[in-house]
Amino acid sequence: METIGIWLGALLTLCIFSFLYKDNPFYKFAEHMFVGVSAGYWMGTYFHNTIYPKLIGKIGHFFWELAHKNAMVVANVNGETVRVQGISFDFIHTLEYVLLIIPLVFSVLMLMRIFPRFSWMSRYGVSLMVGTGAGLFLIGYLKSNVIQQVAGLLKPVVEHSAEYGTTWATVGNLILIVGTIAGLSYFFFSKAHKGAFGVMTKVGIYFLMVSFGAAFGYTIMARISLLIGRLDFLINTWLLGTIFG
Amino acid sequence: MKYRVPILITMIAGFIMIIREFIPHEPFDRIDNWLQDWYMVVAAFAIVLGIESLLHLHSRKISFKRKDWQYSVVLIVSLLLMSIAGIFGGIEDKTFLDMDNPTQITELLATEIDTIDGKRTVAQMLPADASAMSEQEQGAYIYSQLKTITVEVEDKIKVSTRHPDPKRKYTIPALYLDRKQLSLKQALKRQQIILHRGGLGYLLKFYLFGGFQFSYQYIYTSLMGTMFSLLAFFVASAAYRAFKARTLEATLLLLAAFFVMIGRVTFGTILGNVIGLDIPQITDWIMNYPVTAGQKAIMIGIALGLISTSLRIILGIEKSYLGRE
Amino acid sequence: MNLLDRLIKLDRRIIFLLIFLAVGIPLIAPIGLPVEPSQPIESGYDFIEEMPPGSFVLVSYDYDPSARPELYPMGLAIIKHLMGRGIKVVTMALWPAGAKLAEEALNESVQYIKDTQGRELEYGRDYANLGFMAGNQIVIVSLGKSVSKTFPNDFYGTPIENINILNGMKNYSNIDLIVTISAGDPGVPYWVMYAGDAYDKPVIGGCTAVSAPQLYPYFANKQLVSLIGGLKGAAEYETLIKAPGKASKGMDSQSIAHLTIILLIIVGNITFFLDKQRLKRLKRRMK
Repeated sequence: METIGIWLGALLTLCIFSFLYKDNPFYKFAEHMFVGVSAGYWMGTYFHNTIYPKLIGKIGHFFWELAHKNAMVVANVNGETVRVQGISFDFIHTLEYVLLIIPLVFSVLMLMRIFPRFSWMSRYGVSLMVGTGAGLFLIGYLKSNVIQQVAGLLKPVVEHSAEYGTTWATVGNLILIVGTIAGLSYFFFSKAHKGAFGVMTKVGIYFLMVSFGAAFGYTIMARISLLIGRLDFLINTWLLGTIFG
Repeated sequence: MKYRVPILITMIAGFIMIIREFIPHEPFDRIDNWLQDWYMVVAAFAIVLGIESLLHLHSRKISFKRKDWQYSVVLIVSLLLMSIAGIFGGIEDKTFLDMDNPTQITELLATEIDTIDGKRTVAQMLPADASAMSEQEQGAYIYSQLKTITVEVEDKIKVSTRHPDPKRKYTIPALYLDRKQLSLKQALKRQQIILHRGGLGYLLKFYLFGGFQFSYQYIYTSLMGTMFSLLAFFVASAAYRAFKARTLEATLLLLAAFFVMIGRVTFGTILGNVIGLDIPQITDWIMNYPVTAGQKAIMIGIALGLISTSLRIILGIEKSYLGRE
Repeated sequence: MNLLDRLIKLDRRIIFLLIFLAVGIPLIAPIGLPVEPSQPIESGYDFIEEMPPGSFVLVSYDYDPSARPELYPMGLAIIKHLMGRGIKVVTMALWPAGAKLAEEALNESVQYIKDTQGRELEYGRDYANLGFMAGNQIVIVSLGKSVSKTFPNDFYGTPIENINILNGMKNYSNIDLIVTISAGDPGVPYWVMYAGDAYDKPVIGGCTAVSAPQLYPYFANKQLVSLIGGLKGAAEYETLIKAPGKASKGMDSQSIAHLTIILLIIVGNITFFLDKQRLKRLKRRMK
């Protein structure tokens, strides 16, 4: 089966690479297969990793616990193992299960989007997601991406660095502070970019360009690495592995 | 009603998440965990919605016989096959053992299964007269008796119970010992082992139980990796055509890209030795200072935008996510 | 049509072929170019070198096989280094496919330690694999309270209480280092936000080359002990631990490909300037 898999992978890889010459039916076939398989993969993954354990499984477990209310269980009391009769849950535990009705209802309402007449119902599900997401990211981003980053700008006036030498490290710190402030000022569109402020925003653009250039360089690195991976698969795993043994 | 309740839900959810940051104790951290779990469930259903939309689009393409409708058939078929295999067959890696293959029969006989009294190998579970058979015969015997040979297992399910001391009115964690008789087939399935005897039966079993992993490993990763690596070619072509030093900004971008590309490979050191500069170190300095400055500016800018939008959403000022009436 | 016009109108398929050859040929006929470690990677290496044997390290596999060419060699090199120093390694995954990749890396490293140092490492005593847990940042935050509550069983279904190594690892206070190898979301930023900054834990981040520039501020700010970016980062780490692997082999192709693209950009710019000069001359003649 592994050999079939390698051949399948190799042939599909070549189908996609054929696009480099010209758009053709092999590429279109592989492209549509990619979309279908990806969607199917996410369906399977989300069902088994999220929907089942966090919703269906929990609801099922709740009804199971209710059905086994008088079962004998084993507990550890003061270091001794004792048998106790009856499963019971405290208030919080019960609340957790009862509140599962919220994600259940919201998920069903979310699916109502399929029907145009009832699509307004999906707003409830969306609002839960948006509210939770907004609250979650607000604090995380504020802490790590704003406060910590600004705190990182508090650098010494003269820095002694073994890596770059005192001059270059000090100049670097200055560049870091000036560059960050200038770059940030560029994004401030409520004030016209004229005069002294205009000079600062111009400097900011230069710093942004330097960082985009570096990002471009790294993107090339990443894409070439992926290409190396694919060609390594084609040459070493497929050709040398299966055809030439 | 249609607008007010969703905005209220957003507000409550948002505030709970924020309050938890300042009051990390009960009950806020528990409510926070529940909320995040619910968020993930609803998000999963949003994905289901997306997939439904994809199916809808392509089925319309097929019914109206629009251009390239044949490829839509490929899409829908692969989507359905993958989803069915994934949902019903499970997503774990399965081992398929051929009962006509001596090595695999040996492997099966040596497999340990969890039983009520510890682990026992499959060979140990065979009746006395079966153990005397040759391995080949044992394999055939096991295959014929998959539903008959039973294994007693005990699952420990975590529950809670009232404290035995009537004076203590709280619950304590406990274990429910679920003892049950499983057929050998079910017991092997729990260990992700599927037996077969080749032929059509094997193909069907392979599709249902192993199809998901197989497609993932050989089809999905091949296609995804190749799609992304196509970008390498297009980036090179675009760089040749469009990456011209027309302005100062473009020149700065170009120089930064040069230093990163050269400095991050061995040629940087070699070139540096020829010119007399430590190019990798210059690249490091450029990354640590000017590039970090630019990226910091972008990071802080995005974060500030995100924070202000989040606050507006939580306070109900921003309603665009609810769509139009 | 002279050479300049041919270069301006160069068929992009020729460029594609050049890239294909630049990457493909070194894979068949390796040159063996040396790899020079850089500062972001060396700081991670040095940090691990200074850790006493018996320390606990949590390695989170936050990627799927699509990022394997860049990230698998990286994770493997780090785990080899940790195991080689007698440090206890516990892997986990925030991406579903990560758990299997972690298992593969652990098995390969154990074999490597056996071959090079002659030591037999035992699952449960020296290393463990907690497997995948859905929840993204909830998992990260929850680990701060209790590892056993977050992961009741390991990757193989064994209850946590039966695994030796995890008796010593209660929550972040017992963990000496967090290593995250990530291809996106959830990944390095979440670990920095919810574990590194929140619990003041050192974090080493491994990422694809695409994400590296955005994560640099975390490294420059010392929110990350080290940032290992892309295939080059992986190759540098392999060089530092003196165990060249797939990443180092790929560096030849990477170097030649980079050189090809740089030459293409230079040629593109030269043709651009020559074309500009030609236009100027034409305009002058017309006047």
